[in-house]
Amino acid sequence: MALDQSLSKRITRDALISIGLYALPVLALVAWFAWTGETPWKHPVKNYSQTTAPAFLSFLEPFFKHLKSWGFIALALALGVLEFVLGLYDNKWTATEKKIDIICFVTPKILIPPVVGYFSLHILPTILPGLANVFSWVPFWGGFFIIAVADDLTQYWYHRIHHQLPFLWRFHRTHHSAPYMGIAMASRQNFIYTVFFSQTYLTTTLIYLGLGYPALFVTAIKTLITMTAHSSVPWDKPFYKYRVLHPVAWVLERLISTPATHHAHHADTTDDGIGNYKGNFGNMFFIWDMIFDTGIITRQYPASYGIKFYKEEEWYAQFLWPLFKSRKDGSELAKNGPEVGDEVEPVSPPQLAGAA
Amino acid sequence: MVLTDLKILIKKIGVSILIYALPLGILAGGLYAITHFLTN
Repeated sequence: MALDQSLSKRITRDALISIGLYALPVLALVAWFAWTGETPWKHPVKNYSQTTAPAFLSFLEPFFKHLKSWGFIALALALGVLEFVLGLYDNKWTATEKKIDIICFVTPKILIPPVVGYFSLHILPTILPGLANVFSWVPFWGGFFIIAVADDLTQYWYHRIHHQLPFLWRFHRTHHSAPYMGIAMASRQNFIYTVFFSQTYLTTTLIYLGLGYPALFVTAIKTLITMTAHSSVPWDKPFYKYRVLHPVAWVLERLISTPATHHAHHADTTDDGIGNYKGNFGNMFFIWDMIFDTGIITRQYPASYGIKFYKEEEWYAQFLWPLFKSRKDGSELAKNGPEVGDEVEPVSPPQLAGAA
Repeated sequence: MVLTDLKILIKKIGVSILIYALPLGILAGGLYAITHFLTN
């Protein structure tokens, strides 16, 4: 499947803009140091655990520290139970979907930490010897923005190209195959997609270089936003309902991923003007979609979710393709299966006329 | 078939490394430059 030339041009243009976006927090630091005359790199903090957050954030530290370990699992389970109690999965949680959701939730939590641990304890000291904590002089707010932009813009790109480059789609398809939305979607991914998540290693490297403390805060905030954006609990609805909250909604929906904008990304069609599975790629921040014109904000939720070419493939094919293949005829994940990409069948002219 | 899968995997890993290395180069390079070019 060839890449459309205009899309190719857009990717190149947006990648060039991204170079400027990545550099922004560093340029802000340059401006700050030039203005204040501070030179903290002359007296670097050798151990990043000695750095502290501003006082107004320090009360959150214990919560954020635990969120990274058992806190994430506790929060996911609590939200999952709430979704069940509210009956939000309807009858769509079939045996196959259950298996995929549970395996995708549990397995990476067991297998990814050793991989990332090996990367930070063995690979980084080998390829970047003597550079541990070299940037520990960076002030908290500077590190916070560097990590926030580095981690989330990288995830935006990683996510976007898995939609826009057809040969990558099948590594991301599992995340979109479920015909429902819920907290389980946040971790429902093909294992190879997860193990080669670029931003995991980028953030780990920046932690190694000395930005570990701000990374703790960014990761916690990002986890909360992405989990609640996937959840079927529409926390953003009151912001659209009450006129007094509309200004807050306007800012929120442009700044971060909300259930409305992210559910639109999981829709199985774009025909209703609500679904936008070819956009709304943002994870923590939605501003990337605003900047690159890939976002649509409607304040509405799609009627249905999933992908048109779904054949309820076996859990092992969805979790481990291309290492394991589906036995379902015509499946994208089968041996010699078609490379469909995230396209849906085009709407035929009579249907369009009917809709009008 | 194995060769096709291997090619896809290699391309996928290559893209992941590129998306990792570009921002790392910009950020680490920028921070390193601060320590060398901003002195008072």
